[in-house]
Amino acid sequence: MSKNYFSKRRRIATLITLCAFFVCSAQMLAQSQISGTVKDSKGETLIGVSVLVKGTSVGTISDINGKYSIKASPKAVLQFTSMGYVSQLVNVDNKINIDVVLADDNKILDEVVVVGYGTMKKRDVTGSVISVDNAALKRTGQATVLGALKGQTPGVIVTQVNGKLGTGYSIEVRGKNSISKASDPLVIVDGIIGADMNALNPADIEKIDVLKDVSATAIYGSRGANGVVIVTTKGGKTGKNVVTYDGSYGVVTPTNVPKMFNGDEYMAYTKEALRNGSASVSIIGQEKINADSKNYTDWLDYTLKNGIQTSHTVSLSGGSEKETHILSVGYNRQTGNTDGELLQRFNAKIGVEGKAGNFTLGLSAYARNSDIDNGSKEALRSAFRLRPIAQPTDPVTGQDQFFVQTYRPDRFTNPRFDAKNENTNINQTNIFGNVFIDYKIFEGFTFRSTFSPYLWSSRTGYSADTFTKTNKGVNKPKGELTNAFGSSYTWDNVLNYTHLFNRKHRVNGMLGTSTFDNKSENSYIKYKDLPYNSEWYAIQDAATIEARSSGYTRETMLSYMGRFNYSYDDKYLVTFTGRYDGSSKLAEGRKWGFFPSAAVAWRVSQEGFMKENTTINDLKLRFSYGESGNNVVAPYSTILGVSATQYDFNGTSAAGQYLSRIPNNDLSWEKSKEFNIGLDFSILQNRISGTVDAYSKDNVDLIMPMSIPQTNGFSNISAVNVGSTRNQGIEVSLNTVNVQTKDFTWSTNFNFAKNTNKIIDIFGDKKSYPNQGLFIGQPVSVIYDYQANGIYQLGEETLAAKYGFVPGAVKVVDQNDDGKLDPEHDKVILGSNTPKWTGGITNTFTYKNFDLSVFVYTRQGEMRYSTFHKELANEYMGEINQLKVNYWTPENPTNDFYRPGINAGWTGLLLYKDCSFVRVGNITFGYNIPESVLKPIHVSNLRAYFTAVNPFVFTNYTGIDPEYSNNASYDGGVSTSTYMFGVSVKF
Amino acid sequence: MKRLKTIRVFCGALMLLSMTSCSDFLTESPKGSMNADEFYKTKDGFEYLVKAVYDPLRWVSKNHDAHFYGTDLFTVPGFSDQTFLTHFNDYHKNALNASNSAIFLLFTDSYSLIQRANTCINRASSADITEAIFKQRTSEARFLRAYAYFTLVEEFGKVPLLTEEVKVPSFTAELAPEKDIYTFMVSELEAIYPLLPAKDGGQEWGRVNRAAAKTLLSKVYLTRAYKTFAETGDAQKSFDLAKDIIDNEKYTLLPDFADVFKATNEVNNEVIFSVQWSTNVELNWTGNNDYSVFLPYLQNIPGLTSKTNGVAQRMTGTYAPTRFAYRLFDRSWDTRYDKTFRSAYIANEKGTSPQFGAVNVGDTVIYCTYPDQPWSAAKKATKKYFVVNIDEYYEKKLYDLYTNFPYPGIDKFKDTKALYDDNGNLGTRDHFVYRLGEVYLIAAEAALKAGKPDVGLPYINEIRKRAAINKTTYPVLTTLTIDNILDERGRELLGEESRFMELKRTGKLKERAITNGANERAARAGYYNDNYLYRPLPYDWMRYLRNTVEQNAGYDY
Repeated sequence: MSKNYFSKRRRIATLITLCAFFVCSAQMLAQSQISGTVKDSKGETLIGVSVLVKGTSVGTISDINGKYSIKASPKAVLQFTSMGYVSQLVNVDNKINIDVVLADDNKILDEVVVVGYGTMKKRDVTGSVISVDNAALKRTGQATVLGALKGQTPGVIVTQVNGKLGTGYSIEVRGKNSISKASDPLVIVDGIIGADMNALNPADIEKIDVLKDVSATAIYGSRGANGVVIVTTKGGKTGKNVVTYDGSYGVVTPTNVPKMFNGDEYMAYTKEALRNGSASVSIIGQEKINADSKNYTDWLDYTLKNGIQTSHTVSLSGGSEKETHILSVGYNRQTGNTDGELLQRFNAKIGVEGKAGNFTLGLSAYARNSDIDNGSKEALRSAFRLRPIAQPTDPVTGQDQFFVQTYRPDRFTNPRFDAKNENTNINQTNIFGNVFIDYKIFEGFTFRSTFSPYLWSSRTGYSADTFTKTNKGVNKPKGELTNAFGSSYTWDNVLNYTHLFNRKHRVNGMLGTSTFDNKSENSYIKYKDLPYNSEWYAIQDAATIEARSSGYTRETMLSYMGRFNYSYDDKYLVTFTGRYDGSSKLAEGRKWGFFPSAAVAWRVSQEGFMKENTTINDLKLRFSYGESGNNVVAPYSTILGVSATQYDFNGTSAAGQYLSRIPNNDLSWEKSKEFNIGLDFSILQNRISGTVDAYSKDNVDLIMPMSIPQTNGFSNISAVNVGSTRNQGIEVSLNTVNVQTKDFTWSTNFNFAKNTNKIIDIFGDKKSYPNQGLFIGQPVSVIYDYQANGIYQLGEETLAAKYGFVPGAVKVVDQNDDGKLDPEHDKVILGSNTPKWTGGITNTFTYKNFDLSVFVYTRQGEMRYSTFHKELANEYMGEINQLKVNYWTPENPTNDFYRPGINAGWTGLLLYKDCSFVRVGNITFGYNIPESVLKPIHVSNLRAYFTAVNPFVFTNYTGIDPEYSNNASYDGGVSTSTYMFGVSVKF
Repeated sequence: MKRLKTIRVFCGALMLLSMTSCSDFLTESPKGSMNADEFYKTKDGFEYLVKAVYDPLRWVSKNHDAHFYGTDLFTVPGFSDQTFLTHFNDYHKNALNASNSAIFLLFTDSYSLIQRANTCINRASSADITEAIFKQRTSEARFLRAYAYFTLVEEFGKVPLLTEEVKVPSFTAELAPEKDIYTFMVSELEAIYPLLPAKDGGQEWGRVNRAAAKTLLSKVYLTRAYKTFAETGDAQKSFDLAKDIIDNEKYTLLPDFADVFKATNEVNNEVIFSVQWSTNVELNWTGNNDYSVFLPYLQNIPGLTSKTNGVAQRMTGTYAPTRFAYRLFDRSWDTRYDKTFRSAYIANEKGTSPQFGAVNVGDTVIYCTYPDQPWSAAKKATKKYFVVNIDEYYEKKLYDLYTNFPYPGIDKFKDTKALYDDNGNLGTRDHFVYRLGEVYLIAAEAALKAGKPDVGLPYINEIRKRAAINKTTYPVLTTLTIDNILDERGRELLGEESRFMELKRTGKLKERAITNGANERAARAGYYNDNYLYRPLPYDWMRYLRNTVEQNAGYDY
């Protein structure tokens, strides 16, 4: 211990000495004036090129004529850098005039993107593909990959499900394709098809490519129907072994916490309710005493606390010509905002690749174990609902007490007891990887066989001890246990042929097969009356078994695919792709579907007339059409099965078996047909580059559950092919370098997407079904209801009475003014829960070794039914505390909220909320410690940074968080901001 | 050339690689789910299907609102000085409309039962079962289907008459005239009752038997006798069936009315058909709620806890008997008041009452005086507990800050085995559908309707005699009227019969509940009109139809 301590101190001392020495020695050498001109490869002079004496802070920039002048020692090295050009080092070597020609940096165009069963240079890509690199992901400070992807790319909407620790995200590429089911894209991690992005450590990720149009996803056929997200993790690189460490420590603090009534406001509201004859509130006993003496409790303050988040990742990578390897382990720990919440996650990754003759063999594998104590489902809700007049401590003993209300004490109990005594623990292990063998048959012709297995297991345990709200302080402990595990594999065999004929005709052909097999099992038991809280163990001691179940599912798929690329002179590019998929989940005779696509691209900038153009560095036009299929439906949907019913004959089981559903023997592929037109450009020495895509995607024969008249004995059919929808949209992404000087750069990364979703047909008759909220020409999920228009005011008694109401009640618009409200004539479309547009902008500033970036994203025009308001801003009339609302009284004739305690009418209409928001996703401030300082301590790179995650949100939504308005306080979490400090070290 | 050949060879090999198991690789073979078409053909599989038809019987029998509210015998507890009477009970359109969830469930649950029965009946012919089993089991299903239709036709009037298994869902509906539904029920029940086993036929308790089918048929005939489309002899047939049950089906009235409802005596000689509930939580679905819904909602009164699990204290205060209902009982000769109601609420935990001081287990906390013996304020003041007179039942708050409205709750369904549940569910006791006591009253009414009141009188008097303190000196009825019978039914079958259907059949709903003011709230609200004899067809059903069906008169949509 102490030895280490001293050696560390000694090393720091050495470091300081060395620093001092270097600074001095640099100044001791003789200096001379050096000047020259900087030009580009076409002979044009370059302005604003930064010229730096390497290893010092001495520098200048070239003037309007491309001239520079700088003082340097005869032995110095000059570094010339400019955006869009390859930076160049020149030895002074006693010269005093140095002219430099900087070569074009085509890095942006030579950037490699992953396109499915292979990679391609970005300039050769014909489809719509967008990439996010590690730096952008890391800057977000998010602990999960999906969290980091939020708002980063146009057309990819990532939504947090709720505020609980470790909860997931939903992701959607180019809008909702389907009317009813999730539109999750296919995730591929290093060629592992169907991997779990949440199982990855963000620190391991090199880049993420999102394939958006059908021509890009076509090679994955139906599995890529909702877009494909390809994650490339950091691989081993040829060269010496490199060890990196990434670590961070942060404080997670509740933010944007909804403002509830304080004690006085609560009492005023309750008295108003009582004044109007409310029957449902009682203020008695200690609560009355507290009310009278204004002894109030802020229950949210009492319950919520800051969480702590730490993470560590260590990796080793390296290799030689013949072999590369990488190894990485990560650990993440996070405590929640109420007691009892804890997340711990371990990640490990291994990647090895080796060559022998014509063979290449490789393995990459990931393992993740996460253990999450989700804590109490009830504590947070109680904290929101408890009245300020309830008291957490016993008035006599001063101890925390379980029952805190005098009135109906069992209704809401002390949240700290619930936090301590109720828990849901999820322990999950995911292991996935692939092994491949690649055989070069002859130059340009290869065979590759890839086997990607995926194993997962998950154990979910729930326990509630006696002193929880659910057990009311008297019942014995109870619990639930779910065990689930599964395994799947994808086995791909691919032949690839590439050839360049006559230097101008590049041909690439690919032919492959793919086999997919996915099995899962689960078992569940619910029990109560445990002798002591043994959580989900010792179930044999439970006196009562309440429910049990177990199940098994398997789905399989078989595919044949092919792709053909042709390019002429790097100018004209053509791609044809086809895939033939067979799915076990569809009906006999309808299992197979063929999905073709084609794309062309024209690199205008390669044409002779453009080659001389110095303003436009690159310009490419793309056009594609493709078809895809979707089979997202539960296995066995076309098989008529049975399910259990409950009954008894005088105590003897009479459990029956009834039909599990109405089957569909015609269930077939859902199909998408998409046109995409795109433009990639790079102008002004690549200082502005970007992509614009416009698309129109028709989805036909949608697979959806359909509600049917209940007189059929069922209320729905789980899967039918009906209806069609259309998504049309435009996506823009732009990268600009706004300012570039020697020491300072400011660059902006901007994205914007607008998607319009509409229903083309519902049940094959081109008719709208207002009763089911489905309208031709409208988005899939609209809010269709009466329209609230403020509150009936004094003086409007006659009008109100016409509809059976009084002043203070919610005023509803009688659309056809016929004196009554009926759904047929008076319900209107109020909004849709898909955003009208989304956008994100990242501004990055660097000054010398400092950098600062600010990321802001937004979703606009999204209306949702707010579960939070349903639970906490509704007609409770003081029975529970609620959101601070501006309610109507004769003395306060507002239009915001109805008068408590009266028959306020259509109060539910006030629960539709505009959830538009602008959020600062992160602000990161970093410092790269200069090489000169690091070299002596054998560190090649060290960056320290401070990140504020979600520091601000701007919204009119008054619930927990506009991004998860569907989630309320029960089993939910609050919105948080994280302030963290981190370091990245490379040895 | 050689290269081209190599390419060909490899492409061929690639194809071969994936073809190997192609043929059955995509065929699904589920585990843990049986192929229904195969399963129901087997002897055992078919028995499981029959049992599945019984399951929705529980759902249907839990939909109480439409049977009790707005009648002469039941009301909703609450303030008497409320300015707006907007409850179902008050026939207010904001509550009793096509969106009412209780009515929706009554409708859809009934059709779930009907379609299960249809499936069972349809599949029986291809099942590997004996002729005897075929007859017995299909008759059970046909009875349950007829039972559901009887409720539907009386509550809603015209409804779709569906008798075939659904293979392809239908998106249109055609409402069958009431007359057709009656014709269907009569022909079904006439056909099946001879096929069903007698009371002691060896079948499990809880299965449909011959007497159950006869009882339902008797009620169907009796109900049709009042309709415009009545057929000659309906009332007589109803009487004959009732008499047949009483004389020949080996049921007997238990000597003591209280014994019929003893929790330990669910299988007794008077019960013809009952919905089964269980103490096994895995078989009990959401459980019965008869034990909780007729008791007053009493919360946070020192001494009366809702927190313990030992004795189910949960009382939901959903239905309160009307003052008229209490006054039907004449305690001077009739034992049924005390055997039906709970007058005193006794402390089950220690507590300190702000009004009365210490409360010990076993102390009276609330006492509801008898309807005919209200206490004076002075007498009330002598007691260390709350005393509630009949004029205060279910409408007067216990004291200012509480929202408790005590009344003598119906106690005959008391369930000591019900597990604690916030919503008063998880009851374990069977719910009586038909018992011999009711058959006596059907016989009396059928005789009256057939124009033979003298023949009916002995039946109603038999019921009165069983209830009497003194079996020889009780007041014997000498004239038989519909009101006599409805009063007697109220006393005998309170909380068991569908009061709405009884009043509707006899044409007495408006007169008894509204005009005579038995349901004070509904009468005061003044919204009732005869359109309310039919419930609205549920909006949440109609919205999924692709044709338009006519809503019952008086409802907005």
